[in-house]
Amino acid sequence: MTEAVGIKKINKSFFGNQVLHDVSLSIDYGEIHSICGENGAGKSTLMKIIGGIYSANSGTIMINGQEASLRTPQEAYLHGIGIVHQELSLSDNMSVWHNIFVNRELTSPLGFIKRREMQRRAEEILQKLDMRVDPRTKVSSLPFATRQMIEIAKLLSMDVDVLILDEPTSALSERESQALFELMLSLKEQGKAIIFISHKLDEVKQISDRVTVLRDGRLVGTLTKEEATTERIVSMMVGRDIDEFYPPKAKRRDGKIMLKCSSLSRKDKFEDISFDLRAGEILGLYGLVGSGRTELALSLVGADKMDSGAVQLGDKPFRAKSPRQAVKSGLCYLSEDRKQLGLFLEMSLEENFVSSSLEKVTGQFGVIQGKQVKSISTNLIEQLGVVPRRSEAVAASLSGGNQQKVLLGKWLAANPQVLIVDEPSRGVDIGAKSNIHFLLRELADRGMAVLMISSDLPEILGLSDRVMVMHEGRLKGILENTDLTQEGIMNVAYGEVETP
Amino acid sequence: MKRVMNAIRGIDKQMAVILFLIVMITIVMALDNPYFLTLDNFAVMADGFLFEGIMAFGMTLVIVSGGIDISVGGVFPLAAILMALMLRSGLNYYLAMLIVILVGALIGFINNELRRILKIHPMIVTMAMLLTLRGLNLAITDGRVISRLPAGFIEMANTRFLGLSWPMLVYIVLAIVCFSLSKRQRSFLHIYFVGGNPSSAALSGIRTERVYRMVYMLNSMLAAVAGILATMVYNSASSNFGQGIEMRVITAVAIGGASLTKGGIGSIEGTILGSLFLAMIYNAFIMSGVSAYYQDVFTGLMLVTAVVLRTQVFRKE
Repeated sequence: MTEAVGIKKINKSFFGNQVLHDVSLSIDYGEIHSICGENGAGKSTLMKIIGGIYSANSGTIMINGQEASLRTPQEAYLHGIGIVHQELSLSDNMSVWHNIFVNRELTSPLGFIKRREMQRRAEEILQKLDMRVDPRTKVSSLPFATRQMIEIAKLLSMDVDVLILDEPTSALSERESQALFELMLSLKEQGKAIIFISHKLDEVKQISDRVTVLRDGRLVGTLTKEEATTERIVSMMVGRDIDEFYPPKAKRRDGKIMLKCSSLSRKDKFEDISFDLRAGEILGLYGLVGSGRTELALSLVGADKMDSGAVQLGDKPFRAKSPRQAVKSGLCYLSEDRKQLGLFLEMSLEENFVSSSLEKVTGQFGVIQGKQVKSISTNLIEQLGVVPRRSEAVAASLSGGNQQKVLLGKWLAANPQVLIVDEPSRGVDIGAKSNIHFLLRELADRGMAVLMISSDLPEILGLSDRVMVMHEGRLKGILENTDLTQEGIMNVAYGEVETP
Repeated sequence: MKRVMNAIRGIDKQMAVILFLIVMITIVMALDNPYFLTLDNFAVMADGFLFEGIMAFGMTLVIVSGGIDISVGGVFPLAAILMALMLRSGLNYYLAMLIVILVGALIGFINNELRRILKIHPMIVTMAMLLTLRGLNLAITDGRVISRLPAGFIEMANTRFLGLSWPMLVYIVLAIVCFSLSKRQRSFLHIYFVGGNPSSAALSGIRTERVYRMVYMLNSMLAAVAGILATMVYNSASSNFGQGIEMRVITAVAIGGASLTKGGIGSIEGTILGSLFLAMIYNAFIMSGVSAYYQDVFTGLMLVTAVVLRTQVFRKE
C-alpha cells in the first residue's frame, strides 16, 4: 500500500507546554487508521496540524511522498486533506447547502454564487448518504446527529483523498454510527485514507485496520487489527494495566426507598415515568439525547416544571419548586454540562466546593467561615483525588476529569440523600473515569441513593445495579443488571413492546 | 401556488410583522389625511431618512459579522465638512467625492486594525473613534457652518433623474446592489458564516480577518457617501450634521431583524423595511402634529420592541 500521509518527528508546544513530542506516523491509502489516547494525549492537536489549523514547531509532513506546507485549512484542502472536527464546524445560522459548500462556493468569475447548482449537488451528496434532508433547511433546525452527518457530507463533497474524522460518533446513535461505518468502509474500498478518532474502543476495534495510541503527546505504538484488543489499547493509553474498570455491585439491595416517582409527565418531554430508587443502589438511566432523561432530572429538582405525577422523597411527598429547595431537601443534580450549569469556572476550588452548601459555612451576620471552608475543601480534594491539590486553584485551569471531580465534590459537600448524576464521565479520561465510578459506588455504599444518567452503554452496564431505559420521552423498561448486554438494552430502547 | 406558499413561509416572521405594521400605518394615516399617500409626501418621508437608510446597509453588514460601529456618527459630518472644504478650494467635484470616500475607507480600516491588534470590543474602538471625529469636526470648522459652495456644484446637486433626487437615486441603486451582493456574492455570504460562528468559519478556511476588514471599511465608506449627499442636499456642511444618527441607523437595522448580540442574523431586505418603518413613523409624527421631541422616545421603544420580538417571540428553536 502507498503512503498517503507521512508524519515525521512532529513537535508542538503551546505557551511552553509541549503537547507533542517527536511524533512519527504513517497513514496509507485504503486503510482506516484509528488514533486512541486519553484527553490531552495530543490526538486533536496532531489532527489540527495535518489539517492546517496549527503549525508544528518542528518536523515535517509528507503528502504522497513529498514534503507539504500546511499552514492554513485551505492549503491542507488543496493537498487533498479534509477534516471533520470534534467540535462541530457548521454555521447553524446558514442552510445545509451553504455549509456544505462553505468557502468552496461555485461562482461565476465575478464571485456570484451558483445557488441552484450547489443546491442540486448538495442534494445528490445527501442522497448518497441516505439522508432525507432538504439542503435548504437551516442547520439550527436540525437535530444534533443530523448535523454531524452534514459535517460528513461536507467532507465528502470536497472529494478529498485523506479524511480525518475526529470523534464523529460522539453524538450519533448506534444505528447512525453503523451507517457511518458502512460509508467509511466504502470510502476505504475506493482507496481513500481515513483517520478515525474515537473514545469508544468497541468502534475502534470494529472498524480499524491499524490503531495508533498516543499518551502525553508521545506515540506509544501502532497495533494491527489482530493485536488491537481492548485491554492492550487501554494499557497503552493509560500507561499501566487497569484490572478493574468498574467497582463491584451494591452490597445491599434492601435499602429504604428514597425516591418514589409515579406517572411523571411533562408535555413534549417525557410521559408517564414511574420508578423507585433505594438507598445504597445505583440506578442507571440509559437514553440518548432527546430521550427525555435530562429533562426528567431537571423537572425532578425543580429547574423545570412538571405537568403531572407524584414524587415522594424519603417518607414525604415532594415537589421541588426550585433547585434550591431540592438541595435543601436532600436531592442534588449534577449537570451533564459542567461548564454551563455546574462549575464557577473563574472561581477557586474551595469556592466551588461550598457553593451549594453555603449555609453550612456561614456564621453570624452572613460571614463566610474561611477556616471551615478550607477544611471542607482539603478533605474533598483528598477524598476525590483532585489534581492540583490546592484549594486556591481556579476551576478553569483543571482538566476535564478533575473538573468533574470538583463538581461531584460540590454536591458531596451538600451531603444529599439522593444524588442524580448526568453523564458523570463525559469527556473524561479513562483513568479519571474509573475513579469517578468507584467514587459513585462508595457514595452508594455509604447509603446514598444514586440515579446515574448516561448514554455510555459500557458505563451503564458496568456501574448500575438496575437499568432504566428511556426512549423518546417514554420509559421502555427497568431491567435488573444481571446478564444484561448492550444489545439487550438497545432492543428495549428501540423495541415496540414494553417490558414489564 | 406551492411556490407562493413556500415564499410566504420563507419570510422571516419579524419582517412579516414590520410589513404588517407598515401597511397598517399607511391605511390609518391615509384615512386620517389623504395627503399621506401622495408622491409629494412620500418624497418628504424619504428625505427624512435617506441618510440613515444608506448608512444602515453598511451597518447591517457590520452587525451580521457580529460587530458594531458607532463611529459612523462622526464619519457622516466629517465627510460633509471635507467635501465642502474641498469644493470651496475649487477641487473637481468628482475627485473630491472620491477623496472623501477614500477617507471613509481609511477610517473603517483604522477601526478594524485597532479592534484586531488591540483585541478591544468594536463598541469601545468605534466609540473612541466617534469622540475623536466629533472633536476633529469641531476643530476643523471651528464650530461654524461651511456654506457658499460653488454655484456649479449646487446646480449639479439639484439635478434630478426621472424626478429622483440624488439621495433617492443613490439609495435605490445601493439597495439593489447591496441586496443582490448579500444574497449571492461569495465574500458577502462569508459575512454570515463569520458572524454566525467565527471559529467554525475559520476552520472552514474562511479568512475571517479579511471579512471584518471588508465590513468595517464598507460601513465607513457608506457613511462618507451619506455625508457627501448631505452636502448636496443642504449646500453646506457643519459639525452638527447627523446628531445621534448612528443610533437611528442601528435601530433601523435592529427593527429589520438583525441581532445586536449574536452575529449571523440580519438581512438587507429587513433593513430596508426597518428604515421604511422608521421613516413612516417619523413622518406620521410630523403629520399628526405630535412634538418632534417624542420621536426619540418612540425610537427607543421600538428598539426594545424589535429586540424582544427577535429574542423572545420569534426565537428560533
